[in-house]
Formats: sequence, structure tokens, C-alpha cells
Amino acid sequence: MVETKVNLEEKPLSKNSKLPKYSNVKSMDPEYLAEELGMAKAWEPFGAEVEYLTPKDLVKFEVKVVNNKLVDVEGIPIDSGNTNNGKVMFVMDPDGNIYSGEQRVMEFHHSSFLAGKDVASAGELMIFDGEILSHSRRSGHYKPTQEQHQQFISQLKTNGIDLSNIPEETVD
Amino acid sequence: MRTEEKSLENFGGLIKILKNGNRVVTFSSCKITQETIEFLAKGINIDNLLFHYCDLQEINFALLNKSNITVLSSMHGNFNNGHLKQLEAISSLKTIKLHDTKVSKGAMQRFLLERPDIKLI
Repeated sequence: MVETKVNLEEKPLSKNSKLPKYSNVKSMDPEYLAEELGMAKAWEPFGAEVEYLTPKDLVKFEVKVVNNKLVDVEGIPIDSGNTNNGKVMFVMDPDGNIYSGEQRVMEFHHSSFLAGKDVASAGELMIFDGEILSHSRRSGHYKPTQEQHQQFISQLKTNGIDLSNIPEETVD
Repeated sequence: MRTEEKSLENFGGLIKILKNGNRVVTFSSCKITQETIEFLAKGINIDNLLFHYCDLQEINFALLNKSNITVLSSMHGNFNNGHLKQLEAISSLKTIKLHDTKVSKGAMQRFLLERPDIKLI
């Protein structure tokens, strides 16, 4: 029997392969690893089981820009007014897709959207009727850099929302 | 929804019941003021308390000294040496969990000298 070795690094890119839009990405704090199984060190002693979305469920959390407003998958303007802390979370994947939802402590966090995979940006928004009132890079799971937050700002500008006059909340 | 839970929501808090039956009050990404602590100290039924990326203002945790809180956790945010010192007064505490806070190792050592009965993780 002949053993065949495949060197993945030398494998040519297929016609459908494309490089991600953003290469400056941030990994999750390793203390949160295995949180979807209730085994993360960060969540001791509570044993929190954080939901990780499947690609099929993730689609429901994608947000788009329509008429300079951030809207959900059904076209309804995002509004953080009814959330517990007046904010919604967001993450941006390396391809520039943005996802948003309400945080539920120990249940649904920034890591939930991309199932713990790297993000190009993450943070929080105060948003009323699709119009962003303030933004921040506050994410305990990812602790994104200011440069990574800038990627989010640039992506939104490309999509039609200019945050240059919108206050950015500082983070600790 | 119970009145207690509705009032807690006004402060940005939520109650979660853990698998072991413990009632955890959680606060996420919000300002914690002395009013919040006073509300918690009034006798709301809590076993555990969790602050997740909260902005702790001028507060005094020692007000919770008559509570039944056994576990207190602070993750991210600005929880600092002074806050840890205040927790010495809460006799019911059995475990303190800190993750990514401003607390120094020295402060943790000093705390454990005062409260060696507490598990500080």
C-alpha cells in the first residue's frame, strides 16, 4: 500500500478560493475555550454554557445597511432601546460581514456569532431606529485593538454609514 | 415577572438560575452605582453575583455585608484593589472569581491574609 502525503501548504488555491478582506483579525481569549461545552476556565465556577451559532443560524443575525440605516435580516432597523443595557453587540468577520444581537450573560456573547473563531472587529452599539448613537470596541472575549475597530468603521463607511461624528465610547 | 426582577432590570441586572439551583444576578456592560449596591443590599434573594465588563462607579461593596451572597465574580471592566478590599466585609462570601480585572497580585495576597476562608480564583 502506498502512503500518499498531501502538503496542504503547497496545494494551489481553487478557482473559488478568495482571500479574506481583512487579515488583521483577533482571536478569542483562550480562557473562554470550550465555553460552548460549559468547560471554560473564564466561566468558573458558574460552568456557563455559551451558545455557539451554526452557519445556518448565523444568517439570522446578519445586519446590512439600507438607506444609511443598520437593518436586520428582515429589513427592520436595529434598535438597542429595548435591550437590558441599552446596547447590542456586534462582530465583523474577516470578509467584512457584520452580525449583531443582544448579549445574555453566560448564554450569548460576542463569541456566539462566529462560534469562537477570529473576528476582524467586535464591540457594542447604542442604536436607535437603525441610526448609531455611539460605538465601542468593548468585548471581553476578543479585546479588539483600535486598528481592528477602525476596520469596522471603514466597512460601515463603505456600506453607507459614516461614524466620523458619532461618539466612540472608551474601553478599560 | 416578579416585582423584584422588574426592579432589578431598572438597574440593568438580570436573574439567572444555574443548574445547581443558585440564583445569579448578572450585570453586563453597564454602570454600577451606589444605588445599585443599595438595591442589592435591601434583601433581594441572591446566591451569586456576576459583573461582566461593568463600569463600577464610586461604590461600597461592604454594604452587602448582611447578604447571603456566596460567590462574587467580576470579569473585565474596572474592578480594582479597592473593590476587592471592600469584599472583606461580606461574611457570607465563599468564592471570589476575578478575570481580567485591575486587581494586583499583592492586593490578592493581602486579601487572603484577612479572609483565608475565601477561595479567590
